[in-house]
Amino acid sequence: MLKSLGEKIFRLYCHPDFAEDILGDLEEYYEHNLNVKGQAYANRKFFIDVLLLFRVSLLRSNWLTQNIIYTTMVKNNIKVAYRSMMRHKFYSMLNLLGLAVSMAACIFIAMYVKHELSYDKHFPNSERIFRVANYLKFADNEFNLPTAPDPFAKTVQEEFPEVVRAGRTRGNTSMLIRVGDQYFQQPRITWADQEFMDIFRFSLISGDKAHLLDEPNTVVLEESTARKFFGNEDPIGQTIRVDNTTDMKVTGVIADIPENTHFDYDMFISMLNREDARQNFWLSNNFVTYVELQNPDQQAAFDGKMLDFLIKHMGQQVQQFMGADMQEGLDAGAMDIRYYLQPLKDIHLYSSLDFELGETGTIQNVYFFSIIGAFILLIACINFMNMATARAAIRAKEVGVRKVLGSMRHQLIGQFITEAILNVSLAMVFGILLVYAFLPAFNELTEKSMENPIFGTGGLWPYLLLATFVVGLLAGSYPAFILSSFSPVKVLKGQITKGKASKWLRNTLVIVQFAISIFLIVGSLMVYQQLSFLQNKQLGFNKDQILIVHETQLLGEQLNAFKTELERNPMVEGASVSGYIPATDALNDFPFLREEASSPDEAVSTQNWYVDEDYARVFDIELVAGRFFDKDLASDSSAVIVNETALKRFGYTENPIGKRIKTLEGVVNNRSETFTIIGVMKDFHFRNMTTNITPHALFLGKSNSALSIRFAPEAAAEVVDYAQNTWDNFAGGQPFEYSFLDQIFKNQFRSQQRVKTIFMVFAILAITIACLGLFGLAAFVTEQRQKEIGIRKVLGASTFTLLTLLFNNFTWLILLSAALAIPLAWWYMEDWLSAYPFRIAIDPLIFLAGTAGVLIISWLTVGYQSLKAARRNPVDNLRYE
Amino acid sequence: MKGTQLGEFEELVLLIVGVLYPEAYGLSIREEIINQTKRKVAIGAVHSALSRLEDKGFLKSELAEATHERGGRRKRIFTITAEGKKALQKNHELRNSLFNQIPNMALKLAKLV
Repeated sequence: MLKSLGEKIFRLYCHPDFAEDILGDLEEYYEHNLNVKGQAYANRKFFIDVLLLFRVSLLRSNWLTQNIIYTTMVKNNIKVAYRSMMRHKFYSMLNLLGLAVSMAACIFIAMYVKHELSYDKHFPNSERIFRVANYLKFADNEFNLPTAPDPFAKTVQEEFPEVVRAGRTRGNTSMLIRVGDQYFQQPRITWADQEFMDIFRFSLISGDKAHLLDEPNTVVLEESTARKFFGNEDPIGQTIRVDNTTDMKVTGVIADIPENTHFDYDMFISMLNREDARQNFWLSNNFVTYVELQNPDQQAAFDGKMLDFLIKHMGQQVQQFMGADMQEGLDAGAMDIRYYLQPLKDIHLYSSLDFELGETGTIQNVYFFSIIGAFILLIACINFMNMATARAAIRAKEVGVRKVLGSMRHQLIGQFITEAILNVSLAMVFGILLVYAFLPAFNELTEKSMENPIFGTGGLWPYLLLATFVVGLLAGSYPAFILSSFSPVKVLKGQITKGKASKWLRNTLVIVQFAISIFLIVGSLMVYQQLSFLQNKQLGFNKDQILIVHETQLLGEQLNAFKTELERNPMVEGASVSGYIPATDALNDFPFLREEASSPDEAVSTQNWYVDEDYARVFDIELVAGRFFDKDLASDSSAVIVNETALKRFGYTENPIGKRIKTLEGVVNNRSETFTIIGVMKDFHFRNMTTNITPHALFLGKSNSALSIRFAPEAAAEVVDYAQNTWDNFAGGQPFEYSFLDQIFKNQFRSQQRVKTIFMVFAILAITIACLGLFGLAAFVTEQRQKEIGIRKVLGASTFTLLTLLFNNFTWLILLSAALAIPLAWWYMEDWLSAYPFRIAIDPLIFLAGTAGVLIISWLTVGYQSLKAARRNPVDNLRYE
Repeated sequence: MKGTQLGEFEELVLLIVGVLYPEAYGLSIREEIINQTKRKVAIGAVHSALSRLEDKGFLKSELAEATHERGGRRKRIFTITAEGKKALQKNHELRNSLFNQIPNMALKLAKLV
């Protein structure tokens, strides 16, 4: 039984030449064992020996043995590829260069896309973590907020069984920290619950993970922050002094939070330090709330239960503060209150609420860049195919000879594809070198910090390996099939017209390339225009020559003396104390109503800024009616200055001065606070240039966190020195923090600047690669028409006529690609611009300029070759045989 | 030429083929190895070595007449070729020459250890 099975197995794998005598040996040994040791042993021994006979040298012929032949063939293919590359060094260089540059561009794009997609996925259980977001609407005010009321987290945790835990953070601020006798201005500080720490499970370096922030006056530091404060000392249990008021104990140190996280905090203070975190107020949304569910499928169920939950808890306070029945209001459509969960991993790419925690990406950008990357690679592949088919004539003879000598078609295909893959691999190596060379520039542009994106952990190298083969196959397959299809008789008789068969294809490819280039050039021109439009638009205030001193609340009572001291300097034209500074996103939103209004429905969501009497003078804010605050008039404490937009919303179009507005709180029982309008300011862009101007009101009041100084032209350095010296006299060692308003303003355009740079870089890349291709192609076509040019010249054609002849074809192709690219660019840019409330109109001249630019560049590219050919002595052209 | 080195086991098999002349076939070679060296050797090891030696040209083989033993299957009889003989001689000379170059002192010391 075992013996016959063994025999079968043996016959299956053994080479037939050896089968007989080895089986004979086995049989003989079997009989010997049968006599000496019995049947069971003999059977077993036989079977084991069969298994042990499974050796390479005894196997049937198989892929392992054939492999030997295969590798020699590949070796030969590589040798031929190398020779053909060396024979046409110029073309090969062009090809390689184009491929390498576009590979590098694609690698960069892949890095960017991969990074964008990786956001927040590094947290353990990230798929079970959600953020609470809401959509709120009452009257004409709409909000989309990533925040929830203070009792929300605690209440859902108590009432919903599927909620494992819920935790909150609030704020992202900068404070003065004293460690021993050293001061640090520490940015990115937030307040957080112990539950927040439990949800995200940051990797803890030291401390007790269950007791990080569960007591007041405790802080958790990021590793790098801890090192900044304490050097190599153990931070746990150490005390730091926050804001010069409160001593806090360090209870934990966590590893630095990865860059691909939707929030960015360096230091966490216990939420128990905030009074407002437990006031049980359901009508304000200030807490970023995270929920961990038992499993991710419960999201929909959670969202479904929200409405009843909200009415139960919020309804009473709506009644109390707004005088409305929540259920009725929702039914009548007077208000809309929706709270829902956002999956953690979707926050970065899919969420764009008001007041996100940091700059978010968009999935559209990810798609857009993936498409651009694919296009760039496509252009390079097209170049490769173009050159290969154009040079078909040269290789045709080789193909003919090979076929006559017995090459099969699939062998030829193999040969050309090997050649393509070899080229692409070389290009990939160069491309990777380029990537590492330009990595610092890339990091600066994208504000990321990648160090070893290809060969580091989670690097891209496996994808690149795959890409090399795919691109090689793609770029190599067309020439491979064309070239291998030549009939040897025709080729050797010289009947293959030199590459003309695929002329239409080459033309299409050229058109696609230039359409992409024109699209990108036009796009970058328009982004540039829109950006300079925004930057040069009248703001409504004067942003130049303003120095801002921060953290002035540290001076306490001495702030006024500090201000007076500053004003003494003749270079200082004015100074104003207010934490509300235009363009800094200092936001403070509260609803107001016209005086006669009786229902909360008429509320107007208004930005409320507290300023001093010098504010308008320092920032050059223009009043269209009335006057600014006067510190000698006591009545000005209940005065307000509104902008034109607010006036329109309140309905005070005529004679606004002296009219009054009142707060939403207390409308129902007539206990609103009222303010008299004493001035109307011209609308100015108090937030940024990319949003609409909303209702805005100034009040005389205390906001002492910053002091703004308007200084004389050219006196910046002097004034900074003076302000710093004065500060040092007053502040006793606390650090002097300052910035310039025009700089802050400029920083607002970072994301647009980035879009501009990215567009430009890709436009330059695309046009370079396309021109490389065109250059090679022109050289080739000119060479082909050598004879024709010679004859024309002999017959009396001028250099100019010849040039026109050579340019004609390319010019038509580029005009065609312009016709293709312009509508696409128009559509895309219109879409992009529509996101801006203040935007340029699309100027047809841009399309003209883009097309003309591309034409000129391509003429220059083709021109060198053409001119050389046209000016050559016709004898040389005709005598080449 | 690559692949014409003699491995230790290959050399052993080649020598045994010579010893057994003219009756060297797979199983007899295996038995002889076991008897002479007290090593455990599988049939597979012997055959694979024989096949490699034949590829390298050190052995040639032909099938003997069929008998009634072995289920009527023929034996493959191996003989050493001129190449094989040369390779064996070269190895033998190399070993002798190397052995003779060892100073007496070294051998004496080796005994002590």
